[in-house]
Amino acid sequence: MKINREARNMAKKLYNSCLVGGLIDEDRTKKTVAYLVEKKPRNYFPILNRMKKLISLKLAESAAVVESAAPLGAEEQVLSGKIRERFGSHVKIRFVQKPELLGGLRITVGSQVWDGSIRYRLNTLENSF
Amino acid sequence: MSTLLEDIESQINGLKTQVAKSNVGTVREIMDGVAKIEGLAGAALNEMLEFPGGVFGLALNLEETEVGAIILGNYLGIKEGDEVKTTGKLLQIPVGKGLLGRVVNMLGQPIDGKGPVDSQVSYPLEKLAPGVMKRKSVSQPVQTGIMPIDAMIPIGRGQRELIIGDRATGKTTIAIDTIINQARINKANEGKAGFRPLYSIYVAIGQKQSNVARVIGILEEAGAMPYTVIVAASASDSATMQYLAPLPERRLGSGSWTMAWMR
Repeated sequence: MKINREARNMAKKLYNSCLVGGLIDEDRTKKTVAYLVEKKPRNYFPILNRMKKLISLKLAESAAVVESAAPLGAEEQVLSGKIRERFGSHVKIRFVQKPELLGGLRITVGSQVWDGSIRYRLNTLENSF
Repeated sequence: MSTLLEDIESQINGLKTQVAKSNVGTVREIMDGVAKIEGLAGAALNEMLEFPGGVFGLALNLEETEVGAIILGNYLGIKEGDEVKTTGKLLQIPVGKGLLGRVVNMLGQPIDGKGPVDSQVSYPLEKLAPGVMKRKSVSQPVQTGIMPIDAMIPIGRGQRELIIGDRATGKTTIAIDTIINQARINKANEGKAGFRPLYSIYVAIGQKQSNVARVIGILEEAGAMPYTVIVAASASDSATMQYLAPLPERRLGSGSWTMAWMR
């Protein structure tokens, strides 16, 4: 969506005001959005959309997805502990089963991916020929 | 025997499988060879990005929430939602004397059907040219082989010379004649002490492939190909390739590109 500079700057300012210690404060965000919706300042629609985008990116940064071929069982706890130890206790972890990985794990945190799956190794082998 | 087996087993247990760490993003939109990618928080400017199917792209536009990239090659196989990886490499091309006598595209990939380019060294496409103080001053003439030009216009090695004129007045002919003349001089002086051969790079941008083929034919006939590299981004190539094509031309004068191709 096309957005002008004024709206983009305003969205960034409002977004920054929703952060507490580098993390999104749910209460503040909700209040900011409610205020915008109520007062309808100039460019309020693009500002809200831009804020949504920035917030979704920030939330994605602190979301971890662990993909495995088979259910992990008790190891989920160990893994969660290790991920939180590395990226902070605020990280939300989701476990997904993906049989096409064949084996191993694929961990995604934000835009970082650690791929130790057999599927990845097979693909690398295939590309090397 | 059992100790041997135990030994092997302990060796196997000690082996660690490599986990690949990469920075990924997803294609949000793609059209006309330009992709907008979400994610890719670690992408650098001019970094090569890997798309599915072995297609590469070039990160040109780093924005707060997304990365704009141009696709080098066929973009028709890429669709929304595809995963894109950073490679950690800047756009680079193979360089060296193995390129002499070859016809390559903008990425240094051979397009003349003579097999892979014999080059072990790669060099970044975008590089700061050596400063004025580092460069040697122009001291050696270049003979075009066309008497009126050689008599009236001083041209030296390491100097830029623009050929301008209306269409079909022989601009390309002057360039090709010069390339052939250099090859003749190189051949005549081969092996002489202190002689530095002059290699030529012909960059064809947005030309018909038939025209490029004709030029190659003329150079081969005159025996000038062993001293020449032809870089072709023809009219049928993607806009990206033609966009990158002027780079060598711009770089040639400053020396960086000449070195990049010939190092």
